[in-house]
Amino acid sequence: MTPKPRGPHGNGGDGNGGDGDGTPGKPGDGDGSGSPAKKYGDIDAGKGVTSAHEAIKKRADAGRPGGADAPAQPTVDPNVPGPAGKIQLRPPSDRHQLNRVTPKSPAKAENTIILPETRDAVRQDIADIQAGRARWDPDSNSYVTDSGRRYKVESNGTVFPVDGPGFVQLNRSEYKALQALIRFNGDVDAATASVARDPSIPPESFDKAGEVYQHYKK
Amino acid sequence: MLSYSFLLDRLPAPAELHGAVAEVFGVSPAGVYVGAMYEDAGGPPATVSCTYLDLEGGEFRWRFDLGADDTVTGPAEPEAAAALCRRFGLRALLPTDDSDEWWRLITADEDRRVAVDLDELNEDRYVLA
Repeated sequence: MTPKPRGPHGNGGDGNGGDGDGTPGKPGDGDGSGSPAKKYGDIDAGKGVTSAHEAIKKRADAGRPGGADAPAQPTVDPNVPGPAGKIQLRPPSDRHQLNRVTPKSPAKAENTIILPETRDAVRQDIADIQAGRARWDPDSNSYVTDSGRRYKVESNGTVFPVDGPGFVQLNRSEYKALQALIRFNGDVDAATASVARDPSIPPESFDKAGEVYQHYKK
Repeated sequence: MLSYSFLLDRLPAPAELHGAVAEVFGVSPAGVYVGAMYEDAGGPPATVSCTYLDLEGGEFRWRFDLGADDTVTGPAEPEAAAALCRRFGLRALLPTDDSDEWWRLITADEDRRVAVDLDELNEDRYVLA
């Protein structure tokens, strides 16, 4: 299935906390003038600037892996097998988070994408791995969580998603097609035309990329 | 169908790239397309496409993609990168599939695994650790 074509500016937000209730504010709203304070999503301007800033930061961090809503990260327990027993784990690189994929990353032969709806589960997986609640497979140097997701760990503790529910594997052509869709905000015609001369990105690459794009910024 | 994607520390002049790509892949220069990534105005697929994107920072600031149709059977990605590195005195950084940290550095003289700074990577900057 390919995504429905949209205009080149059909998806303006960057997903970093700007997805509130969409109500534009006006100067003077909620400024103690006696009128009811304006609410922007969960940001209540009537609770003061500091409170509003904290709420904004919380919302911005929530868009990042390991953000404000992340489960409390257990401390390193040397009894946990594998690298989680030696180092504090860190969330996966942004290149794996669908909402943070950009056209700038080189496409690998295989690319694991974390769908946005799995983001919170990945945070929990990392906490579970750190706490020793995941199975360590020394043969593949990876952890498998109860959810069935598999992860490797880089030397600085950054987790590398391998496969499992909520992860999508894209080959190089499909990943390039996804990047073109992101570049053109889901406009399939524009995205396809932008890579038309590259024989390694045939039109069928946009089928799976389009399915993944349906989850973008969700 | 060949599909390559790696990074270069410097971008040669497109006209020079055009000739070099034709030579490396053994195809007619008329079948080679060289241009900025995502700025293709459309048209029939080239025999070999070579596109580039400025990452605007980092030690390896050029994303460099090569794509070839089924009439082209080689060279493989590391050999193609090495040929361009020798020709233009470049350094190339090739991704590995099972790690974001470990990459393959290819120059005119060497080919080895290297680690990149993962914090910089999140900003789309490729810097050796």
